[in-house]
Amino acid sequence: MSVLDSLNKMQADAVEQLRAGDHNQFLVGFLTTSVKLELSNLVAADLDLAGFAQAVVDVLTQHAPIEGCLIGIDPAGLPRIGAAVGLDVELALKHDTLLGQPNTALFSVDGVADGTLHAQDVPEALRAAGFLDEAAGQIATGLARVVESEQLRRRAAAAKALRVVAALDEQWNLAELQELTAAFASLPGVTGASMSATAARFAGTLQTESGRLGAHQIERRLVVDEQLSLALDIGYIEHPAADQLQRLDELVLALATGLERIEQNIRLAAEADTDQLTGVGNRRRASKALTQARQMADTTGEPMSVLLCDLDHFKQVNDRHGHDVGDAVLAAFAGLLRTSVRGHDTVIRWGGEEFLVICPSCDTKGATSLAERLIAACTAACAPALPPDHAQTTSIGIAEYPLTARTPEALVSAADDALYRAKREGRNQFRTAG
Amino acid sequence: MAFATPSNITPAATASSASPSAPAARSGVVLAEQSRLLVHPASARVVLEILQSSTDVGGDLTRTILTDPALAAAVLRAANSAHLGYSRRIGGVRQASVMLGTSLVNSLAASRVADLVFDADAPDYPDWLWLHSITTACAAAVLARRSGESADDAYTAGLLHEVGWLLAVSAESAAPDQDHAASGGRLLAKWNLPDRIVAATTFHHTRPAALTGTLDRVVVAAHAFATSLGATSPERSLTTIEALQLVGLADARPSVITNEIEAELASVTSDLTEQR
Repeated sequence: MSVLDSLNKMQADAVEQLRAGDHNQFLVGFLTTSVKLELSNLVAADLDLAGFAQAVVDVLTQHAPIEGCLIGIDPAGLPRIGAAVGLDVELALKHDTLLGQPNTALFSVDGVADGTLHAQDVPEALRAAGFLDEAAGQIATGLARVVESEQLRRRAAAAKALRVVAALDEQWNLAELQELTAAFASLPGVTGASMSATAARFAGTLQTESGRLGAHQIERRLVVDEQLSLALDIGYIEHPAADQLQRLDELVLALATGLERIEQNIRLAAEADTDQLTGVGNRRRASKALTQARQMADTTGEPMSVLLCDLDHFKQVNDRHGHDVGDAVLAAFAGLLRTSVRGHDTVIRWGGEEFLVICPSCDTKGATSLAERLIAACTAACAPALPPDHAQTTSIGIAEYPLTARTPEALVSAADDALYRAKREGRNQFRTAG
Repeated sequence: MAFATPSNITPAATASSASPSAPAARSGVVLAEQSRLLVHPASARVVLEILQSSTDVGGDLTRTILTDPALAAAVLRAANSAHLGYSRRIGGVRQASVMLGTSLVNSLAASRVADLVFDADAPDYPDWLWLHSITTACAAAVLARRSGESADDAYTAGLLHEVGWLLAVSAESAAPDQDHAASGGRLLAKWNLPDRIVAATTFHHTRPAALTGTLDRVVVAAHAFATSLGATSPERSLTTIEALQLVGLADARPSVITNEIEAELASVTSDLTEQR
């Protein structure tokens, strides 16, 4: 008999044999034992309360023939914790909705916690054997220890928040804000926290949330400077007591002090990158901006362009009208550049009367149109700084990455070559590299 | 049956519903889609025997899991679930079993078997479906081994290539149409199985010339060998000669390959056919 023939025959026999045998009792026993064993292992795993709740529903849905399951725990002095697999977790947070529902078991540890366990579609054989009650009983056995370690963790939350604040530096961003929010959300008596930080350097507002805000909310607003403001919302289980508010305000003060220090450092760094006379970036900022723009081009595959602008016959301005007039022309031209470029372009004073414009996500065509506008507007923009008979013009060289050059240095050098051609061929015009 | 082309079938993980007739949410709160697959009675019987015979509940079910699409899918789903946090996705059943550990594998299998045992009205398993799946799995492993591919991944892809059909049967929906390839692919994608296995399931009715993945071709070719061995499906298949060309084994003799597949099948199913 071939393998397939014997398999075919076996298939038919198997159905008969499986139907004939009584396996319910064995399976109920096996599943109950394995779930109880896994639940008892959880207590030893030293999870926080939320982690414990999640692990409980994971165990039940993985080790039992149950697709959907949820648990709600009400620990004394702590916010209600809910977790769910396949069901809506919101339901786990509403104690009353679960009471009286089928497939719901209650558990309680006197003075420590109580809660509800609910499952979807528990097979009749398991239900008849009191499977959920057995599981709930096992959960109650370990709950005291889990709640105790959660309370310890919460007492350490303020210290954790201070550590996060101390570790903040100029680079702080969403990840740090999330960590901070989680620390605030773990304070004793707190159900959750949300934070939003608004600053130009975030290109808008960063927002994070941890836990749930609930009914008793406290709001704190922090305006660090015109550059950065922070909004905190903290939810408490019940209206916070004076000592809880005091602890919160100590943390908020520490946060404000930390952020002020950081913002000042950012300001100092920005000043060090700025050309004093014209207010645009200096060469120090250029290397940062070029590197960033190149990384962006490499990531997105979009080209970047640079424009190197030089004021024509500028030496004559200084010689004829003096350096004060020359400086005013430079400032006027820098102003034209600043108002002509897009928000994410960078303007740099590259040398004496040379300015570099770095344009991410911009090809030669875009750069050309900018150059045309600059050339057309240059004379009018510089006129207020000059005697009426002097018409100031500019020449511009354009290069595109990665089309004409493979590195930022080579890119600027290519723009310089193009600029040289624009000068040699008559000035008051632009040339493109390549 | 019309061949689907890859461009109109997408193994998207964001499938709206993996089941053609997911039961309406009873209490209005069910988020999970119906995704419990029927275990074959033959595999269920052996799982029960092994679990009952081992004194310390530590019997090794891996061999039995290899004989059943639903059990294999459950183990791979667990091994690839996000909360285990492994970065690499697992395609082989043996590897998945080792990762999960005996206790979880045993209770996963027990809970799938319980679905069948506890439910007196469980739908009948179509005779051809199980035989076709397991034979295609063995054929895929043999062909993969010969073409230097991962035999474990190929075995899984062969075993699960009709998972869309099994899903429809398990959900007791109307007979699946040709979309079962797509719905099967969506289910496996949702369970985070490796992309190449998802693709092989999704594209197993795709015009052979349009197949790009090696594993896709192996499964289509294995399907043909399973059919030629008598483990047929309601679907059309290539000839074994065309199948060998598809996987770059034009020089091999179909009869030699067929013998190898039969030997593989006998070995994989020896626990099931053993007289007890």
